[in-house]
Amino acid sequence: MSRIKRSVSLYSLQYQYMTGKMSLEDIFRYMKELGVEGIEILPDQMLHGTPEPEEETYREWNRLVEKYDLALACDDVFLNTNLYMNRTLTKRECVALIRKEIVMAHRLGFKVIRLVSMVPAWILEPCLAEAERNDVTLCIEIHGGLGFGVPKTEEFLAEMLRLNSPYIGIVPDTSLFCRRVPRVVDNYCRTLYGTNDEIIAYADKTYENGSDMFALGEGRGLDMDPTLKSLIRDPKKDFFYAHNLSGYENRPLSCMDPYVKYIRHFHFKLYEMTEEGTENSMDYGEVLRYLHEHGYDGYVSTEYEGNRWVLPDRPIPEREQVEKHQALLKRELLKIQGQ
Amino acid sequence: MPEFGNSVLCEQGFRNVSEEGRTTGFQLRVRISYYRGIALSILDGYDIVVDGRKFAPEDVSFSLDGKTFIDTADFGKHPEIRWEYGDKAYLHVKCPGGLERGIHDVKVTQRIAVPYLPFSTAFYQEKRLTIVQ
Repeated sequence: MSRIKRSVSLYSLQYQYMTGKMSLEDIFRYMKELGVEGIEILPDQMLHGTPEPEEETYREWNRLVEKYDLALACDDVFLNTNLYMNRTLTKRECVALIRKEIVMAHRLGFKVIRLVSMVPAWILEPCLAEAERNDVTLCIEIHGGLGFGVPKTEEFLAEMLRLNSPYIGIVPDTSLFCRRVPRVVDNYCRTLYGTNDEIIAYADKTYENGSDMFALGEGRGLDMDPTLKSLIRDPKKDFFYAHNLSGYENRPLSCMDPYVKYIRHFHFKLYEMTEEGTENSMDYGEVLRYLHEHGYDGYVSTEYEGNRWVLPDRPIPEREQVEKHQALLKRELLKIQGQ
Repeated sequence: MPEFGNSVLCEQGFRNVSEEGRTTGFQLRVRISYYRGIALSILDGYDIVVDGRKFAPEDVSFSLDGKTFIDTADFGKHPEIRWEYGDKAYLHVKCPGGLERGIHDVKVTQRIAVPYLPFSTAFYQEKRLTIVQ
């Protein structure tokens, strides 16, 4: 019987970490107290010297993993193709960097790497032997605005199907399944930038009608839906809001059907947990039921991104949001799988 | 269009800097406004505005340790230097005579070339900070 497990991406607590309110050990302890089963980390964020940290960094990591007895759900990897002035990294350089990340993931104890969107498909074949040797699966992130229908992601998916290896997979993100524009985004842009109400109402209506701004802008490159564009009355106030909307897709769950056996990890993004204990823009129940029905038994991982939509000088409610989100996942999973 | 970034400017470390007895400029402490550590070559530069006065990019230099400064125009030459997430770096701004004691309106915009986005991303933060010396 498959069982979906809960994890938290430590990204969700990044401001606690950055401002020194919580050390990495504090975060581990907190995860344990919350009853989280697994954790996910961005080594670039919390482990110095990535992808070649000092031995001391590994020793400290191992100590924490052992002491707090947390499973390691996913290692979030980036590829800085723009590292050098005037040229992008060569294929050889990209492959060498990803291989280093695979070795680092293995040494940390992870079995799943999430490659950030836009990592080129051609890294897969030359990295596959390293992935097998280290028992680490390479997964592309399928994120709203950067996922299905985006050429680089589609190339990755095609290469994944061609190579058909247990060491290649995907990490979808629930931003694909936004049923409305996150309310925190509307409020933030209205208050901070003075975004006009008409453009916000148009966006809200689009989602209500079952569409989204990624779909309406698809095939237009960096350009956007003509109606949305016409509602940009003052670029200083409206452009950021309009441009940002493509990251919230309103797709049917069936978009995952062809790739469901390749899902190795799942980002349960949240923008805002409401007073009622639900997420304002997404219905996690439908996603969890889909995963359960398809026999998924990996992690669903809390990724709090409402942190970006907190007004200047207001406290970022990271801990509260993570706690409410984990409680919601626990409740929904209990309904679906009895534990 | 710069986005608001809530972690660029640090409260402490805003001060005038003297060389050989003369005040030559001021310093600010800044963090990465992005969510992970990066090589300096991925930074595109800084815009500094104090009380409405904009400082030229060539008058702004950057340091991780407060000792060795590099011109912000030379970020691209330093793929080997890693700036860790959360670490507070120093910005030195050339400004003969320094800033007056008291409260100033400081706005810093940091530009980063995020590798998975097709354009440079800018984050700004504005704060009222005090020069005490």
